Amino acid sequence: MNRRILWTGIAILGVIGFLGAALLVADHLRPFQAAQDQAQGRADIGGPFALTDHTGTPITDAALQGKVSLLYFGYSYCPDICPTDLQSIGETLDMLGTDPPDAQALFITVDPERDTAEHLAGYVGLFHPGIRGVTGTPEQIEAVKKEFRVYSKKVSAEEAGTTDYLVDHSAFIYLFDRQGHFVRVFGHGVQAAEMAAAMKAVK
Amino acid sequence: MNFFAKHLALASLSMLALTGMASGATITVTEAFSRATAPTARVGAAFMTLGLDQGDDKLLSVSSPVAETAELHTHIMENGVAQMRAVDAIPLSAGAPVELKPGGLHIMLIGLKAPLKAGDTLPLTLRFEKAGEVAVSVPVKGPGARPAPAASDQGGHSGHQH
Repeated sequence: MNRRILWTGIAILGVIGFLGAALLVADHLRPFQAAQDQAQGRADIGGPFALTDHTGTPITDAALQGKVSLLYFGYSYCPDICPTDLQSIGETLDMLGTDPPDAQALFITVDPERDTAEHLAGYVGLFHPGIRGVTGTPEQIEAVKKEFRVYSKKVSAEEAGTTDYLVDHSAFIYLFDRQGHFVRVFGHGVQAAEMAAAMKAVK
Repeated sequence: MNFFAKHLALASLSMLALTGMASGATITVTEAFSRATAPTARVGAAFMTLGLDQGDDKLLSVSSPVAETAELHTHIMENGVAQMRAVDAIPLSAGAPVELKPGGLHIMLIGLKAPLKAGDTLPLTLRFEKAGEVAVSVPVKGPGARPAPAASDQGGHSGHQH
């Protein structure tokens, strides 16, 4: 009797151990799988969107067709991360000049409440005349964030200890090819030369 | 280059060296800059390196006539997510300069009365726990201006070794 309980116990522990190990392995493989997908351009980043640019003109995912595009999601109330990356994006466009002739950059806000088209018009132009500011309704922005797997979260003034609310956001610059397919992502602080080289290499 | 950079830094350091009357210690403010803002921007930021020659002190608050209020903020990068948060104070100790730079600690100006334009000068009053008030003039640079390379290469001009 006691032996049966002992063996049952050992068997249960064994199953738990196996499941635990399997979960651990799966967890470790996930980022690797994502990286592999990215490397092979298969990552499911991007999709349809319907937004408005800084001139008030509607812009959809069709804007990516036939262009080599950099996409950056951020907000203009951010004083240090976003300007640094937008500066690099502007420098990238300068470095490219007309090679390729169809390079473009979009700055899509994750803070549509404050980043109206009018406000973005005065903002993106500070960095480069070729950067297109993009905004929309909160629902439209939520939808595009989901398509592009962008993380952002409003943090109340109270929680951040500040005067006004802030927005936590993933700071990645995305590269898309002329078919509107995701190519790769650059981290915050990337150098313009690296982005320019990658844009030139896009077929 | 290093020699030149060091002496350049020391020159600007001595120009900006300010003595806190109360503590007798000297607060130094170097590599200060701000970034140009959009015409409709409500916020701006200022960056600088703060140094102290003896003891310790704390930057408690900042004010400027060009903004309704100013806050001390930091940016935490976690898994590629930028998270900006207020900090109560910025502690300083002798020989360990603290860099306020994009992507980290910064002074956030809130409720700008006019946009900051490149070439302008931004007046700030820094209030320290021991040194009291220190007035600085911060040059406004481009919208995405970065710290001068010399500042980060030096990794802090520790002590005043000549």
